Amino acid sequence: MNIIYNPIIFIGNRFLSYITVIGGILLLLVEIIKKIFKISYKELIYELYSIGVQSLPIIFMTGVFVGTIMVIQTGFYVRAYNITEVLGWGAGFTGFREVAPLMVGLMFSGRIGANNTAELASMKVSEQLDALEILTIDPITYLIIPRFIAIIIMITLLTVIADFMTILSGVFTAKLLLGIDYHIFLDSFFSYIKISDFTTGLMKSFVFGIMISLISSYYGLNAKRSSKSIGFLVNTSVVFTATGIFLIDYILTTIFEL
Amino acid sequence: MFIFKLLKDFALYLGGLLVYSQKHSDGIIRLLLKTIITSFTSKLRLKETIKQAYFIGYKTIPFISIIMGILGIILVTEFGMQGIKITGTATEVGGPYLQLIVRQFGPFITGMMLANRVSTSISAEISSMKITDQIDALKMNGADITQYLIVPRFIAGFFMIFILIIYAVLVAEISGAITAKHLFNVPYEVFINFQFVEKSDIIQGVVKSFAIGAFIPIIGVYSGLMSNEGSKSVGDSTTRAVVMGLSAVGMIDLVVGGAMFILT
Repeated sequence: MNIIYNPIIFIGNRFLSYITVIGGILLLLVEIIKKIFKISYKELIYELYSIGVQSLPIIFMTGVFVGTIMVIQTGFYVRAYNITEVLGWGAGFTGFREVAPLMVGLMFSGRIGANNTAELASMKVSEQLDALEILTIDPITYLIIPRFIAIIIMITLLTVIADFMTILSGVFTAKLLLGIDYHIFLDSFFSYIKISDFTTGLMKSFVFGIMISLISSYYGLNAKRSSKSIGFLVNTSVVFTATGIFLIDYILTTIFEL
Repeated sequence: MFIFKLLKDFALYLGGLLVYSQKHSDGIIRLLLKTIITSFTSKLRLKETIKQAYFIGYKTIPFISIIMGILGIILVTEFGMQGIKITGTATEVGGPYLQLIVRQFGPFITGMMLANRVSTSISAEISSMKITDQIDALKMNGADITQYLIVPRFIAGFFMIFILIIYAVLVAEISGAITAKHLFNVPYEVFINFQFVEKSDIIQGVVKSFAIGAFIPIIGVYSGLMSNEGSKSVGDSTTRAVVMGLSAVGMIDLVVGGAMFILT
């Protein structure tokens, strides 16, 4: 209701809170870069394992969704204009460049980002972070940096798996639903798709990974000391990440296209 | 031998996953049916429903506006670039763009965003009620949880999400038209083109919207009710709600899209 009574105060407050969050995230990034070589390798390997394995099923599913949906949606046009030879290209191009990184980013933010926020926040609420500091273990080097690096490496690698599943499920959907043979689909895919389409998607995922880990860690570390706030923190962090993913996707698309 | 062990582990893992997802989708559909029956047979808490509609509908408008605005810009930029590469102009982009927005991206992207926003907040609310024993207290007072908590959220979500998806399509179309005007010099009256949108596209969009609207609040409630003791479970339940919500939206899109493809 505030927006009706006093829009200027409302807009100002919103603006200040966004600036605070963005500033906090940038400060966290600076701190991570400063201490990046003091990383605990044991934690890194554990995080790589847990993040990679935890998100494997959901990435498989994402790839299948992307491939199937892309082929169905391109299929409407293919059937209308009878252009079977562009189906592989259509599904591969939009899937690799745009939809697969976007979906992998959103899924990753839901699975790993939300989990990260919840975990760090409950550590903060139960004063485990303070306990670490008393033991002269820096939470940034011990907890944040391993997660940061693990998320970035794993999202980039898992995008490759999602891309593979996209093509695999696309081939099967094309055969089952449109009756287009495997070799026509794959011929069209391999002859039109460029390696740059693939690498563009991977670069997008890389940047999404940086953002997901920073935002989720920021919200986790800034939890208030009550157990109820964790759920709402996770909600805010996921929403903020989704907005950021779309914004960055737009910026990267313009950079790569123009 | 190592390979065999790995394969066996993977198969076990996959089987476990299937059992897990089967169990939960079963639970979600049961809860959905129970809620639908209860919403017809028992009295609706109107005040609570309006309050939920305010939270689900009004509060998410800024978020949806930003997301769909950016999506419109991205899609029109990509389409226009491809159009210029292939035909030399970007004037024909408008029709297929509107068709795709109505049929696919409007319900799908809005649904994913609402899975992030609405499912998680419902789940956080319900699970913090559950861990502080408020749900047991309600039950002790003889209140029916389905009628008291779930139905208002379900009714509010069902109608609000449908309206939000229509709004999202509008926002995407407007932002697309502005992008086309400024980037490719396509006039508004050429870009806004209803020729391509057929009855089947509208049916597809509407069916997807209603299905997403029914499932998102139910998934939030289901995931919230699943949580047990301890403050950690609130965070876990929100994470679970995001994953379940996003998967459900993908599944709905796939099933409805595939069915419409075969039927038309």
